[in-house]
Amino acid sequence: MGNPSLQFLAFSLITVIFYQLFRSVRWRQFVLLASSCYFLISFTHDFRFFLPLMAFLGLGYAGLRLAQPTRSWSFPITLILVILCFIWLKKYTFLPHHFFLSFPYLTVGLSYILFRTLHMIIDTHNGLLKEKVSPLQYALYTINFTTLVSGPIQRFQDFTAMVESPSCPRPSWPDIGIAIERIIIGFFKTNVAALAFSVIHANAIIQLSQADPRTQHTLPAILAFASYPFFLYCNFSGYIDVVIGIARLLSIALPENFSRPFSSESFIEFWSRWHITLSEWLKTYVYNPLVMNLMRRFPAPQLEPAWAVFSFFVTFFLIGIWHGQTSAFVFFGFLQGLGVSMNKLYQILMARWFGKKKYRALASNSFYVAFSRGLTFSWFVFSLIWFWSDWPQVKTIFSAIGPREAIAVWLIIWVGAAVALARWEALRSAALSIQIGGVSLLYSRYWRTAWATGLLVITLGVVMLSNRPAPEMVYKTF
Amino acid sequence: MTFEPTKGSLPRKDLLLLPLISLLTVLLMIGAAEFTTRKIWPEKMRDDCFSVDPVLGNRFAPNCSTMRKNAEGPWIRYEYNECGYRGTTSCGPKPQGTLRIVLMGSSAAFGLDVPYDQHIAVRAAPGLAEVLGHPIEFQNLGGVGRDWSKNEMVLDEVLSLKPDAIFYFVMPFDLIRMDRLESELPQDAGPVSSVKLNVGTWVKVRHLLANSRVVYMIQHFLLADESFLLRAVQNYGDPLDVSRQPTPPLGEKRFALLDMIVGKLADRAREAHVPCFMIAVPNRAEVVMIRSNAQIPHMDPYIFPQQMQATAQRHGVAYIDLLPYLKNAPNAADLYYRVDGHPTGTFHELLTRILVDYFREWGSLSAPARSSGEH
Repeated sequence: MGNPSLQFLAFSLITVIFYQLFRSVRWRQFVLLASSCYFLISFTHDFRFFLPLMAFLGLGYAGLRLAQPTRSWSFPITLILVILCFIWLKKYTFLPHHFFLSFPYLTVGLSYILFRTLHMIIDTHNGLLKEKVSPLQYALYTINFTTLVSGPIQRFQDFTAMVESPSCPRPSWPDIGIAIERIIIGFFKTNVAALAFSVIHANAIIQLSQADPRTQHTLPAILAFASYPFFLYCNFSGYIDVVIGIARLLSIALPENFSRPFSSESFIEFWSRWHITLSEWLKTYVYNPLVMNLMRRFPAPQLEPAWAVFSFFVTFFLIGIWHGQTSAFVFFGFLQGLGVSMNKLYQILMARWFGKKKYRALASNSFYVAFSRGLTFSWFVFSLIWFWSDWPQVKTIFSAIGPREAIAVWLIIWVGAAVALARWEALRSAALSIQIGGVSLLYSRYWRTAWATGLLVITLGVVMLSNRPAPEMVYKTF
Repeated sequence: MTFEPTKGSLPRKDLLLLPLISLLTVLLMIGAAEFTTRKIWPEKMRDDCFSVDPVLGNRFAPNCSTMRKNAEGPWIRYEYNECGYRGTTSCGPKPQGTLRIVLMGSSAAFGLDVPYDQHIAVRAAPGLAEVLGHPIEFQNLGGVGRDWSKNEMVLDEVLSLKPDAIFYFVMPFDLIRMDRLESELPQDAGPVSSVKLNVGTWVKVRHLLANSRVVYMIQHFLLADESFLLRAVQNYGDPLDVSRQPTPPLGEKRFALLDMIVGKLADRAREAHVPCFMIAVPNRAEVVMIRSNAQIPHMDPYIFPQQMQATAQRHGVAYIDLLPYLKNAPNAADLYYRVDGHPTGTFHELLTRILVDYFREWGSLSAPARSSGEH
């Protein structure tokens, strides 16, 4: 049930019905915990496969209890222990193979459990989480089925306030409508759009592997590279749409994880629109402490921009490493760190050379914006190659297209994305400008009803006729 | 962040308006999709040369020409000679030294949805002429949707053409039409109507949605994938139900009726000293099952060809086995129209090769009937 399937939807709706049956906090906690346990059991019925995950949860809880502000000695040890345990269970390839557990076990949601656990431990240590967290609260927060597989990463305080509020209201009719709309959009993205992009990507890869002359590989290379970000976006954000919709029916407001990322005009902005909760988490628990520490240790004002660039690199390098266990993901992280840190450096230098006012004027020029948007997209496209393939496949792809064609492919994607995304933005603005009664037509409930119905018809048609499941959730493995 | 329910409630009118908008959207989408599909993939199934014949059921007007199109295929010109047979070859006395072959059967022999320059009547003639040492002329007496019982009546016309050989085409479609021939059953066979027609959900749904071009074209694209076809067969059964293992009573009756008719045709042809050859064209589903060696419970794709081969042998009709070629055809996906199910021009190209190979090996049209290899 780790994918947005009809089975997952049916399970979720049954949970919603039971959850909203009584207002008692205990009842709601019980229903949520029972359904989350059932959700976990749906992955495997063998109890042994759960043991490592349960041990990790237990370690996290013990660390949380030890992380009181008064116990400064235990904090770093706990933190390191939890992170090492995560690396061990995730089987990072730089560790010796014989070091790992030899039997298969469940790791679904392990990364997200790590983020939530670290957040609680750090906040407890810093005195931001003052209340004593009970095992039930901890279990509900870490394994609740709406956010277990792929997030979004929510603050413990926010989550608990909603689940434990005795006066937490049931969703109103408009809420139910909004939730259903969100679920439909999510299903469309995962079952139709992601499926279409995955087919385009897979076919292009097959064409690339065929022994045609290099020039005939240009179009398949463009399709293979440029389709993957859209696939990943639909796959991931679609799942998030579904769980946000379901959580809304449970009277739980989950944070947004995506905000039109391909409209970003810089790579820094991109990461504030893509996997937002992860970026926020890293900003809070990696970037900010690192910058502050560096500034405290080396308190020279002229070094501050350098520390910001360096901290950006470290933060986004970690994002890459988090995504996978192999050296390809280390390089993916390097490219993310490089992109964001170079972007920051460029901003600093441009502001210094031109002055902030002139630079701001330049940055608002429509050609410059389109150019930047295209570059941002093409950099993400390029870096993702190490996300969806391994080193031998990267080598095969680049030897199939050759160095000159590879540059040409990048330039075509850059220019193409600049033009296409500019057109898309213009179209969106024009559509939003159509207003009825002072409200954009696109936001009116009548239009949204028609739109969601249309997406539902298409989705049901594709699901029933294609007899093919939606592509697996990519982020399920992280 | 906390959960704040959306403020305000829905106006009363929206309780009616929003479902109505949903319904209208669905209807609009279906209408728009149907309109667009019909524009992109037009269809004209009516044959302007077609006329109802009191004896044969259908006939084509002499020297007539018309255009037809199936939604999956190209526009095709259908031309009929002075006797109303498909093709432009005259049905008059055959030229001196020319061998005349008559094609009998239903749409497979007729070449429905196959441009005539791709039909075996045109394609196979030069190759057969080369291996048999005589010019070859085909007369196509195949009829669209014709009962096999009508073939008995066509035989008079066939024999009047003084043919040197008769090719019978049989497809699983023809077996379904046997249900019309209840009166022809031997006394001990029991009435067909007592047996429930088991055509499977897939066919029932297809019949319900038969007139929707959207559904038709969706099927066309989905059935391009052989694994999808196999899954459909596995889930819903063979649409024509000729591969069910064991063969159900109705299927047995159909095979028995066809056997009886072939026997009658063969006897009369033998009396006229005309050799007969049977070409059994399996369904695409059977071909895919055989090619992929798919093991589907209670399905045996060899039943139809084996039954046809047995019928041919029983009545001294030579059986031309297509299976060895179909198993290894490189362009298997193009052999049939995916939804319509009829053979394509590509199939006729393959059939041409099969016929030329067969007669190259045998060396004569007038040879005594015999069967070719086993699968």
